[in-house]
Amino acid sequence: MFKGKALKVSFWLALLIFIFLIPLWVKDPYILHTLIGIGIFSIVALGVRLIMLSGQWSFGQAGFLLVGAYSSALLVTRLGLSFWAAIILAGLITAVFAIAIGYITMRVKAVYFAIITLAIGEAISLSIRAMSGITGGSYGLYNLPAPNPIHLPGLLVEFTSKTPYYYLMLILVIVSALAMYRVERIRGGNLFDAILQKDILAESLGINTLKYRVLAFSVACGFTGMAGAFAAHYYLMTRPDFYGLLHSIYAVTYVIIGGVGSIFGPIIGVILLLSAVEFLRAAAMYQAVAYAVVFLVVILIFPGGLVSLGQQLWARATALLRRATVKRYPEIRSRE
Amino acid sequence: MELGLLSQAMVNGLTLAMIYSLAAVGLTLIYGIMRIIQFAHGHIYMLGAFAVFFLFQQAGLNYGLALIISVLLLAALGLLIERVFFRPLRGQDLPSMACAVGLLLLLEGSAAAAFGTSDRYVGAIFPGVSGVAGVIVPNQRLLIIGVSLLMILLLYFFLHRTRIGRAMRATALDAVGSVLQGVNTNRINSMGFAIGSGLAALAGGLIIPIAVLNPAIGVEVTIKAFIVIILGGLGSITGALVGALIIGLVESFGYTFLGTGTALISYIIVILVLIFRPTGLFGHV
Repeated sequence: MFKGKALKVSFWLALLIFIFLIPLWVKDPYILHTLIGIGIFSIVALGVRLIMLSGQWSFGQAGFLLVGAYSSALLVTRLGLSFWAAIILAGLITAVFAIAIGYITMRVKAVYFAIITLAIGEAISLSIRAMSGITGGSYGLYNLPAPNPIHLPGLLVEFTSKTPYYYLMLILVIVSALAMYRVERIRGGNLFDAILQKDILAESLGINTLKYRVLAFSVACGFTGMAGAFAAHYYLMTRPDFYGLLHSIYAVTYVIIGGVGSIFGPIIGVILLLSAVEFLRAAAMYQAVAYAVVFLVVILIFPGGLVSLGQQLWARATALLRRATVKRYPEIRSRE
Repeated sequence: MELGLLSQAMVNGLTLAMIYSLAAVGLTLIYGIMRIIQFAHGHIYMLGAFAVFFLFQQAGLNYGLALIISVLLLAALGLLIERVFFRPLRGQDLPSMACAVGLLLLLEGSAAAAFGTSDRYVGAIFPGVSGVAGVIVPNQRLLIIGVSLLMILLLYFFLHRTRIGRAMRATALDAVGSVLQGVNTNRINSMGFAIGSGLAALAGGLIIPIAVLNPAIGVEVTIKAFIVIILGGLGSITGALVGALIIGLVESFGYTFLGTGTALISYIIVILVLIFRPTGLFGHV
């Protein structure tokens, strides 16, 4: 009766419906704005996690956000493309860019890769500043258009309030999560498991680890680029200092705090930490300190991330539920 | 005139390089022994600078004494940090890294709340210039270069010639093997962290007479120190020194002759070095 899978699916379905219905009663633009910000960084963090699964740490994701943001901004303002074509092209451009970088840099591992991506992220931001003729230099690009309205039979979606942006962001997060989950589950998830645990052994079994590392990196960066493009047309501007080194570092910590073990980990990490920032505004000048304390307490109590706690609670809850059911319908016991 | 500009860029580059190398050898020691990416290392440097500022400027202590007290204070803080935050997470790379980011936020937030975010200046403590081999060097910079070189030589001697230093290098090579040989790795970790933090604090205290001080100066030092040790090869003191010389001189000459865009050059150098020599200039394995 309470087979784990059905329960799990219905739980996630209920959660998804809840998330979809949020704008029906939440009209406060401030809350929607915060949720949209959470969406943008959820995509970035999902990407960081996918890269981590391939055994690499990227500290340059802010650079890829910028690549996406500027690609889309320039495609729309210079070439007159519609936002919808531009955001997809921005994702592709960022992904191709990541493939090129990936093939050159993937020979270095873990902490070296962390520093090389950090340098690349900074180099991207500095290059954007330097190419002021195209990119507007340090001032950035202003007055970007909002996404073009969508004409559906009987429905006109115009991007004049936060709500349509909220739904667009939600769809982007879901698509990114599904795509990255698909990559993660190549060969039932064993492939990235093998690369992560012992890449030399994986290579000796004929797995082209370089190829899959680059694949993970480019998929992650591609969606990060789309998130950047979304942000450019949400804030209606983009600047080179919009996403910097600290954002790259935070993206990694969202994943660790949420937990690398599950695809929900990064999202949980982003939700917790970004809403902590908002709640702690009341602490005024002690906001940064209070945030740091929350951060450190979480990491010291749950080094495996918050999902490890969630998984334990889930196991306990389903066990209780099962016991209660068996008590009521003893005939189930024989079937188990 | 052109020669004057060149020698000036040289002196500035050497000063910068020595500050970077002090921060970098501390970082490489901590990474080497514990495999921790200490993102808050530059914040120890920042706190060291603040300690000297308050001891020297406010309390009116002798500069040398202020430096020594600041180094000891920050070494003690390093000891405490290792004990409270990093020891419970030992051997867990990712949580340790996140913990270091948390520390970065904590130290910067606390400094901003306690000292405010405005810029502070100390000004040259040893004004005047000296002639060294026909080149005019401000005394303040001479002091920075001299003290830093001395400390790095002392550290090198300590790591290679003393029992504890050798135990540290052994732990860096193989922690399990060292435990089996009777090395108290807990103590080695604490000492490594304390020494690394002390050196960072020294760098901060040395630079404030020629630089601006505010709670935000830490991040850049951490990044530069990481670039230096990656360039030189993780865990190598010589590498850190050479890496610091390269980055320091490139930055100084770049800012003198190219202006902005120099920052890009440092990053491109580190990207190229890692592509063609993934273990850094002096790294092995």
